Amino acid sequence: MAFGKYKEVMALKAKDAKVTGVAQDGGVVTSILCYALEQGVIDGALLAAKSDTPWLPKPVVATTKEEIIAAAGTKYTISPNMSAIKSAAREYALDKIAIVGTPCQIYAARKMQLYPFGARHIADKIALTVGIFCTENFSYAGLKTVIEDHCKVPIESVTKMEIGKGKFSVKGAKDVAIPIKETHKYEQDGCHVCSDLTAEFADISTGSIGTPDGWSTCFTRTTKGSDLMKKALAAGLFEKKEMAEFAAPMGLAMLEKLETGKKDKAKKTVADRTALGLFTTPGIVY
Amino acid sequence: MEFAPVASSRFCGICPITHASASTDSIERALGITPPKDGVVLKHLCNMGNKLHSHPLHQLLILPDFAKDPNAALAATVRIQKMRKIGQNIVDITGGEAIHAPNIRIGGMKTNISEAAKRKILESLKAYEPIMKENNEFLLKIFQASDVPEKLGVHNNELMATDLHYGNADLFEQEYFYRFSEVTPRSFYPKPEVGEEACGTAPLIGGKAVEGGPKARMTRFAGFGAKDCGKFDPKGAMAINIARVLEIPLTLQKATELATQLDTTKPTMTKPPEAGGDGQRLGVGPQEAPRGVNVHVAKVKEGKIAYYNCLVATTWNILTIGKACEGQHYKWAEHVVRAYDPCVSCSTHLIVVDEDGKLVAEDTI
Repeated sequence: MAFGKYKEVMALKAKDAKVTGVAQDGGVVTSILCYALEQGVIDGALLAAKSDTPWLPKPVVATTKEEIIAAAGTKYTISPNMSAIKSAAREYALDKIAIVGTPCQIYAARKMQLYPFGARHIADKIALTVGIFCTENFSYAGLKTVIEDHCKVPIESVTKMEIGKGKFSVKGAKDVAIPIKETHKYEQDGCHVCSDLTAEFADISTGSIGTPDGWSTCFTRTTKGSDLMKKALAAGLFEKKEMAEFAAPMGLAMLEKLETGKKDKAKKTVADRTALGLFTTPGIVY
Repeated sequence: MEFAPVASSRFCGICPITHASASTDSIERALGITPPKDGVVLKHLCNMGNKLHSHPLHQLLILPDFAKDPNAALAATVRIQKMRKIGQNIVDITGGEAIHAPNIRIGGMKTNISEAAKRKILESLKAYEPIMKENNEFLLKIFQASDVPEKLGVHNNELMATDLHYGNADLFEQEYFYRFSEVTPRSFYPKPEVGEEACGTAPLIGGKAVEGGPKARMTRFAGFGAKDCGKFDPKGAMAINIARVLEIPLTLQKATELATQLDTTKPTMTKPPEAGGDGQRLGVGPQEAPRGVNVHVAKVKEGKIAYYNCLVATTWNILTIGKACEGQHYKWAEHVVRAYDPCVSCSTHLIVVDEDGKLVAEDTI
């Protein structure tokens, strides 16, 4: 089944201007987290926030709406959000933690819940997981090379980055777009054995692929995720459209094409590595 | 030197907090550094959390000796577990882990807690109070109703206590340390074959065994005595059980004071010098552990441990425990041991069940 198990899929756009002004696309992650915090579903969230180094994210424990909004926007290099979970459960004494992460980080959260070795009284405090669509990720040095050597702009001048329509684009002092294939060599190697584009194990997963600018494609996958989203929709947080409104090549057709591409690439990489006699985690591709 | 508190906290899964604290305190004194005020407050609070769990745990282990009504025992067990959970949660938050807390560091505490976490601690301490009150009333009643001999465990050994709550190195050095000696068990016990069976050492004050723990602390710092003990002798073993009960509200009060005074915006660590220590200065870290006094002593040379010694609570008390067991029928000996320390193997309760879960034998060894 394409996109893993899910209950509903929809196109969403946040209505709150404070969110849409800073969000990457439809503002789904920021809005749903703020709503969950207000409703007491969560009492804090692990997020990738800005650090002192331009575009190098750092994991933070956000416990207010302001902190959640301040962390909005995609960063294309990895933020080890799971590393902050113990701090959230201990020094912050959070009981209901939300985790926002890439599909691999959602795996980590689910594995921690399944066998919480070394995570005593931590995994049971995970209250919500929000997964972000991910085709691949860059190391920070790789990202900097893409921006400064390929796009030819200083990284500190960049205000937004996007991947879409076959391009990697940066906006800021100068808007530049380069073919996405130029960036492939800077991807993290681990991403090449990953089969998951749509964060198939999250409660809610979302990303821009398949919907027009300013909108996000959103899956609800669990009862918890579905119930929360229904309440958020009833509370008028989002404009909603059916995915069927976006005909091929947009919509789910586009998402499925990219997802299949990622899964096929992972299978091929695993086969290549196995042929070389290298170890690959059993069952890593599906 | 950073390894010393990590390793020594592994002495015990019940009192790791007090070992880590004694270890870091001794090394800080050897290095001549002082943690920031809020680091000290947080470390003390962490220790209070440990005591708020450890004292009820001790009560759980002596419960079968006194609670004969299974329903009342079950209700007490539920209360005790609720109290333990709150105590452990405070250590989780302040220390980073309830069992072997990684935040207890040389120089203070690795990280401060959030304001919301502080509020949670204060709320949980409020929730602790009514449960504790009910449990304490119950325990004091069943102690007095028991047929334990009134003078069980009476001895005249000196009581050793440095503080009601945490541990006072200055007081220990002024009053005890200059009288301290350490001999082998073989030379301490009247019969060599007894001493040869013992492991560890025999720490003495003024050439004699001492007793540390709740009775010692409460007697010295809280006016504990005959008025609190009902029919029991205030120098006996039952007085320890009673003192433990009466110490919990004081620990609760102290924990509330500490949590209230903690400034969550301030630093909690003074970074120790990487190559600090002259190898000569002896740092002493006495800690008022739930069941006695933990004393860690250390010398540090150029950032590495040059000398280390630990005299843990039961190493001090075991000499007095032997003395306190004398003079009564042997069936009461285990009650004496349990009053001091349920960790000692001879105080363990034992049940044997068959394959169907049916009780075959039950004993207290």
